[in-house]
Amino acid sequence: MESNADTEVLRLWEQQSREEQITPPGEIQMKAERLDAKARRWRAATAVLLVLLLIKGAAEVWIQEGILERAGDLLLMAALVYAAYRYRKQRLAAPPGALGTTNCVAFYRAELVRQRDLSKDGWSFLLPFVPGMALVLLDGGLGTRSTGQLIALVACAVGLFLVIAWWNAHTARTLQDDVDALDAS
Amino acid sequence: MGDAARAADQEQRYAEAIAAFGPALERLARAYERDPDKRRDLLQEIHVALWRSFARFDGRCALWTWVYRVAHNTATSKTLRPRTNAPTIVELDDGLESTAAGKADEDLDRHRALERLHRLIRGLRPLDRQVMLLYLEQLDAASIAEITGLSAANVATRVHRIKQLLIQRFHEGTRDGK
Repeated sequence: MESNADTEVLRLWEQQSREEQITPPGEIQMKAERLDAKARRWRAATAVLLVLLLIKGAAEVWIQEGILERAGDLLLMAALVYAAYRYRKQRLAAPPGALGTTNCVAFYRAELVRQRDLSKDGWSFLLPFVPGMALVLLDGGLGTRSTGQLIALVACAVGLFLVIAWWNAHTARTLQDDVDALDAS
Repeated sequence: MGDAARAADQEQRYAEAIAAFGPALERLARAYERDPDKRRDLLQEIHVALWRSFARFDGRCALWTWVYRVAHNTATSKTLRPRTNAPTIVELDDGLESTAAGKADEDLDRHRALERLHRLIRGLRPLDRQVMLLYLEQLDAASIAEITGLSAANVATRVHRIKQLLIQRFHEGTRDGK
């Protein structure tokens, strides 16, 4: 009975109708080149955006008079440069795609570990912006806002960071559970 | 080997792979993605990954090992991200009537049975899904072990469990007409 059931399923699987047209190799090659070009354009656009943000930040530091706001903007610029450096370093450290030489278990494990580390590493992108943001908000709030409003603002910011921290830790834990289950199997 | 010769070699390998495994890749994409647009995207990504990979193919493993590894690894990479957010709940009859409208009853039954099978596959953990798909492509345990990196004994155990699962869930559903 088992083998009959098997045969039936295998036949059903094999006899699926085809939906897609066969794409000629030339067209696939063009698609691959278009994707590469898109990735290059994206990298260039990101670099230009970073430079523009730094120019804008530098102009604001030059124009502003308040010491707190100037210090805050300088710290934000430093954080931006640091985040860009971290991102580039991480991208360069990623191993080149060896899809055909890596077996499925090794590939799946590497993907889980990579995503777990990204979740854990989220802080290294967010935390550097905290001192600059705090100074800018403090400077804006000191003159115009009451103490209660300032406390509420700080509480909101802290709460937001705690939620992000919890979410990142939760995702990292889930991924680590998957890695452990994979190692145990 | 010059650039032109290398490119010609890459093109030939790709053409060979598609001639031999094109339908299997389509079935694989269908098992990973239910949504037709996402499925088309996934299949395109697999083809592009396969094309690129043949620039590094050195013949140290068999063509089928290479093709299935590239396909499954690409699909895993693409479908792993949504799984960590929220798994999609697939309803058996959802969208089935419109696509199958006008078909004969027999075709409709086949269509339902296939949809049930796809749903079962999509609900599996990635490694079990890969083993099941390779089993459905009628690869033996040693070949599945080579592609996945699992031991042959582990593959045999998983295949046994897959057969049990197919009988329990798939055929019970057929009998109940669900």
